[in-house]
Amino acid sequence: MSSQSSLVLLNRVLNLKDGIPFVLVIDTLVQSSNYLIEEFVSKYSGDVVYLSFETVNKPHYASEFIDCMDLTPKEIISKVKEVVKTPETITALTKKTLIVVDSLNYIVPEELTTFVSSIISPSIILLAVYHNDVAKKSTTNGNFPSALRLLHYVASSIFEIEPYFTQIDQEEFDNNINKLKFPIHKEINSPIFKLEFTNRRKSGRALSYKFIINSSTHVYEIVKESEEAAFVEDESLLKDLTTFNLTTNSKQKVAKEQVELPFMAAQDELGSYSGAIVYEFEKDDDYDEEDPYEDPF
Amino acid sequence: MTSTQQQDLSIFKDNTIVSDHILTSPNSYLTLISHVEGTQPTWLVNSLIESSLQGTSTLVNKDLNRKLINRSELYMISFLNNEDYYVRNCKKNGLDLSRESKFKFIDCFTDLFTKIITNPENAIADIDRLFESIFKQISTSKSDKKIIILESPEILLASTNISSIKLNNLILKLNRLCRNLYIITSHDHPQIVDVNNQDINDPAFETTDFLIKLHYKSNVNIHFEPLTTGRADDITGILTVSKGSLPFKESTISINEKSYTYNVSKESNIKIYFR
Repeated sequence: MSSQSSLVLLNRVLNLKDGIPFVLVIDTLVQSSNYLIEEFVSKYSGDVVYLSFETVNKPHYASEFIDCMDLTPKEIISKVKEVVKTPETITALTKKTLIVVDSLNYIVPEELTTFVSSIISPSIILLAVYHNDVAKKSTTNGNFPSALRLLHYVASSIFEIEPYFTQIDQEEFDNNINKLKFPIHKEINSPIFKLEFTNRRKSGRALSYKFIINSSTHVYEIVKESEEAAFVEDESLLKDLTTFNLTTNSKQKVAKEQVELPFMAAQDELGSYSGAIVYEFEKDDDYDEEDPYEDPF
Repeated sequence: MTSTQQQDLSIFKDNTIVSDHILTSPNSYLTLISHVEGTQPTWLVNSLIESSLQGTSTLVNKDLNRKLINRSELYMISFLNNEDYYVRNCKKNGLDLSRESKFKFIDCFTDLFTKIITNPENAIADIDRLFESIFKQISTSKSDKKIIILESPEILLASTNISSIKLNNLILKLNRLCRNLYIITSHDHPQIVDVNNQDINDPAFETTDFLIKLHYKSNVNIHFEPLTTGRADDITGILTVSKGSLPFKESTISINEKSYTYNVSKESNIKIYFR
């Protein structure tokens, strides 16, 4: 798919236009879903029902706020049905109700798919968040799939978000986060973040795209894979380190790529000798009749 | 920036410890104060109490010297210390908490396992009763500028059969009663925080789950840790103020993200240095 059409697709999904029943947002402690949810609702003009498991303040965009803290999934579903009235006839022009769930982590995996499928209806779009770094409890049945895997199966679009770091020591950063210690980085929980968007077509085929989202300016950019690769091999870092020339020019790079490495040749020609040391005499080799290393006995 | 400011602690960019914009906000916010062994945040808690009650911060920010009367109502709920501990410690800040009408101490330490919780293995009803009485006490007051400091609630996870979700729910209800809830928790690794732990029988699993869920709700994270290079005579530890998972709804509230080193002397004097 061309870059232009992937942007069009992202815009359509963010506008919740394609009749998508269930959008899953996967976030982490270092990039929470807050800005992405705001991005969705800022483009949505219908009613928004907010199901809160962990939200303290009622969001400004919520027309209904249901406190789900001490409720069972069944009680939540019946509350949703009380609030959202299903119209008798549903046409393409019928305004759907958007249901935002602040976290699906509070529902046990065994009840998760039933919960999601009971909420989804032709007049409802479900936008739910799953926190990826919350500790995962093993289920009573050891073979039962994890909550995230189940959600991957049922979601029609998946938005996985992470901070957009330009430069970072990943190992040190991960080490800090594993101790729940949050270093100072302007990229953490910022309105500008990286998004991996997976869209599942009606045929079931899933396609993934990466974007940089700026939720303050509502500008979306496609991440070019080559940009990421270029970041890894940055020769400018070697400049002015010594008086030696450590860089390679383009001609040298081509020559380097064309060098035939000996072990590659060995695999082609000599693999059939099954590990034996094979010596092939070449014309420049100096051949001695007497071997100084020969065993005298 | 003046040279005096460079040695001062400010959590918000308006050079405050407890911002006026939070006290006047219609929303409720959460600040997590985490510490590891060897770095108790008592001096910061004393400064929070002082700043909440009268706006000053004698020991850590010399610029905050204008005393305000009845700035907010402060509820201190502690599972780790009794009232005497804070009354004694705050004297250094020039506060006599025993005479402060806006300071309310809710003691969850002294009688926790004698009168409040009688059977730790079946303690849900007792904990519900305890929190109901706390909610009632806080709701009775009509003040709309309430600050709550909750110290070491994770003790309940380690000592009773309460689940992390249940405790999180109770804390969420508590948060809704005030402008800002400060939670002081231990983040010792791997005894309390161990994100790779998948053993549900290990107490660290439940405490980690509890803390991760709290971090998803926090607006400000304040972390205390010892020097990474080892013990030093003139530095007690490192203090990092960073933003939490949720932004503040008001654009006027901006966190002063900074890392400091600090020294607590034998006389309980605090010295703050920028890192």
